Amino acid sequence: MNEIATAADRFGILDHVPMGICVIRKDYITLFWNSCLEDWTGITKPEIVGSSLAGRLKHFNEEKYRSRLETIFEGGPPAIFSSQLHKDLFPSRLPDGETRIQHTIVTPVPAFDNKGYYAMFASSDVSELTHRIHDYRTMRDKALEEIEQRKRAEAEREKLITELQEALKKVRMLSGMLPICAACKKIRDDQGYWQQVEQYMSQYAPVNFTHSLCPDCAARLYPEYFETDSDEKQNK
Amino acid sequence: MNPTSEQIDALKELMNIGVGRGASVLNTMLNSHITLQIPFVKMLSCDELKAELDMVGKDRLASVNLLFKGLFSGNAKLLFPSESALKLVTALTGEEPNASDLDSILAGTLSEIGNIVLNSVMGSISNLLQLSLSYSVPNYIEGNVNSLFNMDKIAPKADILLARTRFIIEEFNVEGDIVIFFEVGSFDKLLASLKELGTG
Repeated sequence: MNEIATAADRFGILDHVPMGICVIRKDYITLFWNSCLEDWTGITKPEIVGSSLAGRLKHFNEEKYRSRLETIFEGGPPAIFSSQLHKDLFPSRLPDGETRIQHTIVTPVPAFDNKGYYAMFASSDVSELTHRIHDYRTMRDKALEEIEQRKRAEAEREKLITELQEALKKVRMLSGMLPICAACKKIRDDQGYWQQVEQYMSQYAPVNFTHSLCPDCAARLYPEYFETDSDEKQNK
Repeated sequence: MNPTSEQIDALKELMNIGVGRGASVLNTMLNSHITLQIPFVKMLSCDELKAELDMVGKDRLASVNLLFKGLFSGNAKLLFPSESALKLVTALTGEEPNASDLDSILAGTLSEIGNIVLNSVMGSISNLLQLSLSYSVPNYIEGNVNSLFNMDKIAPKADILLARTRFIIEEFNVEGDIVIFFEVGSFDKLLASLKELGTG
């Protein structure tokens, strides 16, 4: 029995496994290609068994695969090819046209002549899991963003409330009885100090004062320039 | 058999060759240039291991384990502290996972990175020993230190080798630590081989 027939005999049971499985020799000749890989890739057993895997799937010529498979052919530890870093080691499409995402483990299998090792690829379809995780990540990010927005809105609200409370406090201080000097118009504060009306008001209300003279005071202070109301009436 | 300081240096050299190969493989796969260095190795007793693990931290850790059998049997374990794990994956894949989350996609990626590093180190050791070892399929576990190390199952007289590994990805100005543990029945065989080679 030749090597390929022996492989079909030894590994035939793996046709019933729901994982993509193939076995290659050190020279990358494909010895076994299971039914699942036929379904996934559309490459049939007669098309690939006996020919080079790297000839059919060119990425296996890249150093990142060659260097790791080399240790497998020497009987080294199994190699993992994760879905995030490799996506689809065996290019394959799902019925909806999306890429079939795979997680693959390659293990050494003793060669039939006990000289060296074959590399056995076992590939799991993790598309569904990957999509669910992406959906979950999207939902989680959205939820986190909403929480952040709520926190920001809450902080804004708190700030506004504080500002309003401050304003209200000042308004309250301006309400009620205000002791004022009948002569100079100074106002007595809570501590009993007399303050100019401008100084007092600007502490408790957002006001600025500009100074000018009313007509009566102008006439009283500068009679040479201004007339009083009574003067105006006499003139008439 | 207690290793001499020369043997410890030789072990460190051997491990550095291994992680150097691991970094080289990672660099062929990824767009960023990663450097892996082992600043020191230590031989630990079971009690010393407990103290060392306390220093690794109480947080959740990701771990990749590789069991090996042969004349030299044991368990190689690579620990990623969460922060290092996230930094590595972010730098290497460009995806920014949430800090509180090591999901299944990340677990796969960390498994592969750990697998590459451990395989390279084991390759260096088995090449030196000229031994044919058989390996289990690596497994990935997450948890705190106590759940990752079952102290009851570690033989009291087991030799444990700790190699603190520093990774540096200059492009992203990222650095972090990975911890590699080897738990074996005895390192006598390895140390004897180092002596035969005249490196220890």
